[in-house]
Parts: sequence; structure tokens; C-alpha cells
Amino acid sequence: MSSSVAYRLRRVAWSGFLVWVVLLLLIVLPVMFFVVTAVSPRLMNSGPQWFTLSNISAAFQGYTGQGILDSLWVSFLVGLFATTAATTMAWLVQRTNVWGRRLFSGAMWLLILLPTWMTTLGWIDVVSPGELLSAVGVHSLWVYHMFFGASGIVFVLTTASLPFSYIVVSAGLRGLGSEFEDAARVHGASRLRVMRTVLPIIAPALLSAFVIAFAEAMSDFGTAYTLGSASHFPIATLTLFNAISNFPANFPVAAVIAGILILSTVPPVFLQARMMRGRSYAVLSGRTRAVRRYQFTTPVRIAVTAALALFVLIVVGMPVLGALSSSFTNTASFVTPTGIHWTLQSYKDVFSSLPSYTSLGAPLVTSNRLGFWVATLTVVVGLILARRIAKSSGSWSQRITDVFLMGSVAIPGIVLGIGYIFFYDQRFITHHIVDLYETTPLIVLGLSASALPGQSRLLLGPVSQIQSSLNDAARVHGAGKIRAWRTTTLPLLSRAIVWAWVLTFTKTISELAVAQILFVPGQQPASVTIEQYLGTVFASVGSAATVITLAEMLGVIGVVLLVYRLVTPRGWRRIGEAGANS
Amino acid sequence: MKNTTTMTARLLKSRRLTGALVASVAVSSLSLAGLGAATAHASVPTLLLYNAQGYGDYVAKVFNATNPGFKIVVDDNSTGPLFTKIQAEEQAGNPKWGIFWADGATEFAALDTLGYLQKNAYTSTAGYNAFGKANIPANHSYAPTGLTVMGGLCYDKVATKGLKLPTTWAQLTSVPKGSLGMNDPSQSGPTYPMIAGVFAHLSGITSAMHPSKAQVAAAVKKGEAYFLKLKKNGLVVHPTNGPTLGALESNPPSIKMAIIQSSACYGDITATPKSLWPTGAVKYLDYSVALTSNIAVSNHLSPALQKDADKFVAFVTSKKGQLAMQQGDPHGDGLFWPVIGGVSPEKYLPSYSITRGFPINPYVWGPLENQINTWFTNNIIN
Repeated sequence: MSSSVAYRLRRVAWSGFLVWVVLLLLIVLPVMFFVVTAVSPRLMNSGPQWFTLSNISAAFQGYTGQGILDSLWVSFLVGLFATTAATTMAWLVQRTNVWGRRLFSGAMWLLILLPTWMTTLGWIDVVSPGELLSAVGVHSLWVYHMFFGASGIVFVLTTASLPFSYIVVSAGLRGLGSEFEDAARVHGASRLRVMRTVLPIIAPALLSAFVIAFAEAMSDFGTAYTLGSASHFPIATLTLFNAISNFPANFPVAAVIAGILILSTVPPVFLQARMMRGRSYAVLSGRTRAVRRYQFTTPVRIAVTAALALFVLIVVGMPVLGALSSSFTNTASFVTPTGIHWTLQSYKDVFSSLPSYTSLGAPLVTSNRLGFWVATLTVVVGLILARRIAKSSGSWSQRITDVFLMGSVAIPGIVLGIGYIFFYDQRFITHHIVDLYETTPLIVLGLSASALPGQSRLLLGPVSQIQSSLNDAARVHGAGKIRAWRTTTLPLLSRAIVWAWVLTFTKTISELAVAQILFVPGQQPASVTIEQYLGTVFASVGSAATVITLAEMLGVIGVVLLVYRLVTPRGWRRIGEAGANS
Repeated sequence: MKNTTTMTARLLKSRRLTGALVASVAVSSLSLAGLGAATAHASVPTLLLYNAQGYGDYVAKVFNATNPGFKIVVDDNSTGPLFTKIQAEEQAGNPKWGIFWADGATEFAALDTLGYLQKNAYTSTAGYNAFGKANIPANHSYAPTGLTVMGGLCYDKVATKGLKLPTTWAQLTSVPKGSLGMNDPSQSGPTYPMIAGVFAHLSGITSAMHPSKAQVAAAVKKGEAYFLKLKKNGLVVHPTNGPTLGALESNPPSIKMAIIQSSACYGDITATPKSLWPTGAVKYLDYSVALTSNIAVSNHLSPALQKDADKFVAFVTSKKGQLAMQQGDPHGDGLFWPVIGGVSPEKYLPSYSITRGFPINPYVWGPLENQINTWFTNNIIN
């Protein structure tokens, strides 16, 4: 090989190239194969035209057009509400002396475990006539009608997005020592002025929180499918599902809707990039000082803690209570003309399967196995992506990767599922490369593709807060690349990595849209089994299965955190946590 | 050569992170390929059954126990995802499904029209009873396996006390406002055939007729006007049987009666050990819409696998198969009227004749499903 060729090869950005190959196979190609049918149905045998714009105009008419508009304004509101609520809550938990701070943080993690379909069904078990509210004497039809409409959808999606926003804002606040507040106060700033000084420092976290909540709401299918269809409030993901599940399936119109969902995330991401251009937000270093918490007076402390507890009870406790109440009764409604009939029958039925249903045992094992692989793959790839974005801040490469990832958050799981069939079941691929369709590797890749964009975004916060001087110092002292990363970056990121892993693991167990399309025949995952129960008269068995699955997920989180505590040095768990003082 | 080696070494050294990424993907894929392979039944050929029937799993087990030469592997799912998968696989050009089993003939007719089904999956129809024979397509591209009806009036005896129940579909437009419910055809598979049946019956289009486009268009207009009247009278639309029954059975009930699949109502009423709906009842109006469950074989299978698939079709359309279907889901999908002679329906079911089942021509109404469902969504639901 000549030296000029060698020189050229050396100049090629192989790492970036390989990352994009992985992203192409995981997300880009499957989604492209689906979305392209919007303008060229013939390419995928979805219609006679090689090129047409008729599907675009069709998608903006009637019910589907309304769904797109509804999704946009609902998601904007969700982003706004979730960011506001998350920032308030994160500030109270991280920066004040409210009681039960760990409990409130833990509640956010519990909320993040609940998929939106579970939350919605839990709420339906609370507000519907004859359900939990009726049992405590509240017969508020007003609440019921409010819930079954736009306000209910905004509420459920806000609660679903809240933990994502909370985690991002909390990470920002946690890494921010009180020196910035102190500096402002020393210069005579009022409390309001201090806030106005400090909040821009965590602007990346706030904007990330908004964008994540917006994109999560845009792509959400669980609420759209349960509450949207029941309340006849069209949301884009529901109209997309309807276009696909009608016969014959209207893949081209569904592809237009999918394209719009993806493109809708571009403006917020560009806005975020524009606002952050030329500024540095790297505040997390080895020298971050502990914060001094704001000390409420006792009466205010009691009032604020009670308000926070009530808020958490409503957003987390009520849907869980709804699921519990349904699982411990075996009747059509919680309150019957002859009273409430408590029974464990549904829990028995979960494991001694009804004649026509699968029992939960084997599906739960399948889901755990999938969760393990998906979480591991997602965290590795997500970390590398987050690092690339943080490293190339401000460059075109960074912007493209960022927009791509955010757009991918907005890809509904069902689109990913069908895209995987369109791409991986192509005759050329199955006959000449690899036949993965309806195998475990393909569902793992599909679920990873579904989890990767969100996880990369979540990891981006902690990764971008690490000052490069830490790594540089290690290198100057003679450490190799790996050792430098292991001794400086890994300790700082270890907690984020562990949480990203357990989060992906649990989200995989409850994921429905991709799993329903790609699961291996005979190896039904738990979410599909539960969904089949919930849609029938055996809903109480579905609720019991939901409760068991939730408990199992919590158990896994407990074990993983315990292992983390046992195997990591004590210092790892405290690095970057500036809020130790109370 | 030395240059190349040095360059390679440098590349490797500087791209360790990327190496980790590729390695993790590769290791995951390889190890998972092992897992995937473990699921394959390498010893005998397998046939993939896309099943939306409650009894499908049980019937496959019974069949596999007595047919060791190949194995039926069941993909249990709702009708919607299964249809989506079939269409996506066909459009990708490499269908994996072997047999499809679900309720409703319109979808099967549409699959047949698109050329996805094996013609003459069975030759003999001697075993069929009169109900079965009435629903067999001319080219034998799918086989009826059971019969239920859509549009039986399910009602709560307590909630409708003192109320004069309707006896005809026409009277449904004047029941107390907001008391009548039905399912959303976009969410509930069997609801479209019911709507199509109402459209057809209102214009007198029977299953044996081959109406012109103009006749069909006129029937659609008439049918739409009927459903608009129901809407004006406060028709409540829930997504599927589950929520509609929930609305009937809740305390207090939010609707008093519903036009849905009769077997779903019987399932709740006859549930054991305790009835889920002791105050529930089913009444048949001047007609109901016949809904067959059907089974079909993919035309992409190899001749050998097609033969195997045909054996399974023959089994479910035999007496043994029909009994297995009843045993597989006795209080759910098993509540059907058998289409094979010599098999009795479950004891909870009345005689089929009292349902006045009205069959529709699925080849006429199947292609209109998307159009009519979209109209329903735009004009009745919203």
C-alpha cells in the first residue's frame, strides 16, 4: 500500500463512520424504508406510484390532519408543564430543606417505570364511574369527562414526561455548586435576581428537559391508544396506528404522519443549539463544592413538604392505586351493587393461565432476558453517542447527530417495528446477508433502537458536564486513553450509567409497540401478554400481572443498586453530588 | 508494509472506543443469534400460525401432539398487529406467515384479492353444515371455522327495567338518548363487518348478489344516514368489546345496551366459577350480521409446507378440531356455532336460527373497509 493511500486512509474519520453504520442499521435504514412510502409507495409495493405528493395532502385532511395539529399543541404544552414542574420539584428537592427528599426522588424513578398505557389504565380505574373515586364517595362526573379528553391526555403525558425532565434538571442542579448563587448574593442580588443568574447556567438541562418532554409526548402511543381512542381525541400516533391497522393498510399516509412526527423535533433542537452556541456550560469538575440548602422556616417547611407529597401522591400514587384496586377485585367495576369484593383470584389466574391466555411466568422471563441485552447494548452505544455529541459541540456533525437523535425520540415504536419488517425482511437481505426477522436478535435491535435516542439524550447531560481537563490531567500524568477514562470519567459517570441501564431494562420490560410487532413467535414478552388481558373482560388479571411486573422491575432495580453499592468505591457514589449538606 | 502496519496500529489504538461499540454490537448479535437459534425447531419443519383466536394455542397443541412430522408454531396476537405484519411482510417481499386464523371474512377476501392466499386449501366441503357451506368462498382460498353474530343486542336487565327494548334495528334510533353503545370499527376487528352488514341489509344486498358500483354507493349513502341518526340519538362508541362491556357492567352503568359480538356478551354472562355479569342478557333484533371465523394458508409456502398447512386446515374443519376449539376457550371465542355437521354448540348458546344471521359478500364489502371506517371515524366518532 502506498504511503499516500495510507495517509488518506488515516484522514478518514473511521470512528464517526462506524458509529453511523451502527445508527444506519439500527434506526436510519428501517425508518427510511418505511417513511419513503410517503412519496414513493411503489418502492415498497404499497401503491402504484413511483412518486406522488397525494399522501401528504391526504394526511393533512380530516381526522389525520386534526391528529397532527392536536399532537403538536399537546406536546408543546406537555413540554412546558413538565419542564416547569420538574424544575420546581428539582429545586425543592436539591436546594431546600424539605423533608423526604429521597422519597420524592425515588417517586420520580417509580413514575419513570410506569409506561403511559399503564398510567392511563390506572387513572381510568380511579376516575371511571364505580371505580376508586366512587368508593370514597366522590361521584364527580366532571373529573371523569375532563379526564376523557384533551386535558386528560395533557395531564397523563405531562406526568409521564415529568421524570425525564426531572432527572435532566436535577443532574444540572446537582452539578452546580452554590458558588454561583453565593457570588450573585455577594454582589447584592435579590433572590429573584439570583434565580435569573443561576437558571441560565443550567439552560442546557432546561432546554433538554423541554425537548425530551416534547419529543416523548409526540411519539407516545400508550396514551393515544388507551385514552385518545376512548375519548375520541385524535393524536398523530393514534391516527398513524389506525392508518396501519385498517385493511388494506394505508402505509403511505402513516409514513407521512411518521415523517411529520420526526421533523417536528427539529425546530426545538435547533432552538436549543442556537441558544447554546458559543457558550460553555461545563460546570462539573472534581472541585465542585457542596451546596448550602435554603432553609425554610418550620411552618413553610411543613407546607411545602405536604404540597410536594400531595403532588407525588397524585401523579404516582393514584394510577398505582387504580391498578392495585382493579387487581384485588374480580368484578367489572370496583364498587358493585353488593359492595366491594376483595379477592386474590386475579393473582392466581396470572400464573395458572386461563384456557385462552398465556400465563405470565414465561413471558416475564423472556422480557427480563430481552431487558438485559437491550439495556447493555443501549448503554454502550448511548454513551459513545453522548460522548461524540459533547466532544464535537457546535460542529455540524454534532448538530446532525443531535437532530437525528431527537428526531428518533419522536419515532413511534410501531413505525420502528414495521420499518424493521420492511428492511430486515427484504428478500435480498434474508437470502444473501442475514435472516433475522422473527428472531431474538432482531427484537433486541428493535428495542435498542427504540431506547437509544432517549438514553443518549439523558446521558448527554452528565457527559457534557465533565470538564475535559480531568481527562487531560490523567493523560499528562502518563495514563493511556482507557486508563484515563477509567480513572476520571468512569467514576463521574458510573451512577448515570447504572441508572441508564436499569431505566432501559425496565422500559424494555414494559415496551409494547415494538415488542408487539417483532416478538419471536412462541416467546411472547410480558407487555404483550398483559395487553391481551387488559383489552378483555379479564382486565383484573391484566392489572394483577401489571402489579407483579412492576414489583419485579423494582426488585431488579434494588438488586442492581445494591450490587453497585457493594462493588464501587465509596467516592464514586459521591463524585459530582454537590448537595450533601442539609 | 511497515507503513501500513504502523497506520493500522495507530488506527486501532486511537479507535478503541469505537472498537468497544462494534464489539458490543457484534457480541450481542452473535450471542443472541444463539438464543434465536435455540428457539428454532431444527428437527422438524415448522409452520407459523398467525393466530387471533382465543383457542388457537390449544388447538395447535392438540394438533401437534398427533402430527409429529412438522410443528405448528403459534404467533398469538390481536388481529390488528397480525394484519399489519402480514401486509408488511408481503410488501417487503418475503412473507414468513404460514397460516392465518381470525374473525371476519372481509379481511380474508381482501387478502385473497391481493393474491396472498393459497387457492383450494381444501377440496372437500362435505363435512360442512348448511351455515358453513353458505360462507365458503368459490375459490376455497379460506375456510370458515366457526360462526358468531355481530349486532346482537347486549343489555343489562336491571338498567333497562321498565324500558321497552327495541325489536328492530330501526327502533335503535329512538332508544333513550345516550343509552346505546357499540365498538369503534378502527379498533375492533369484527365491528366493520357489522357496519357493512347494516349497510347491505338496508339496501337489500344479499351475499349471493353481485351489485354494481352504483348500487353499492347508494347502499353506503343509506347506511351512513342510518348511523348519523344513531349518533344524533347519543350513540356511545368505545374502542373494543372490553370497554363496551365494561360500560354496561360498571356500577352505575354508563350505557344500558350495546350492539356488539354476541359471544363476548355470553362470555361474561356465563363465566365460571361466577358470572361476571349476572344481570346481563342478549336479545336478537330483526337481523344480526353473521360473522365467520376463518383460516387461510399463505401462497408463498413451499409445496411440502402447503400440504402440511392444509392438514391443519382439515383438522380445524373436522369434528375433532371443532371440539378442540370449544375446549380451548369455553367462555370466550369457544362460544361459536359450529360450521361442521354433527357438532353441537356450547350449551349456553341458543339456536342459530333465532339470531336471523345475515351474511354479507366479503368480496363486495372487504375493499370498502378503509373508506367506511374513515367515514365512521370522521363523522360518528368525532
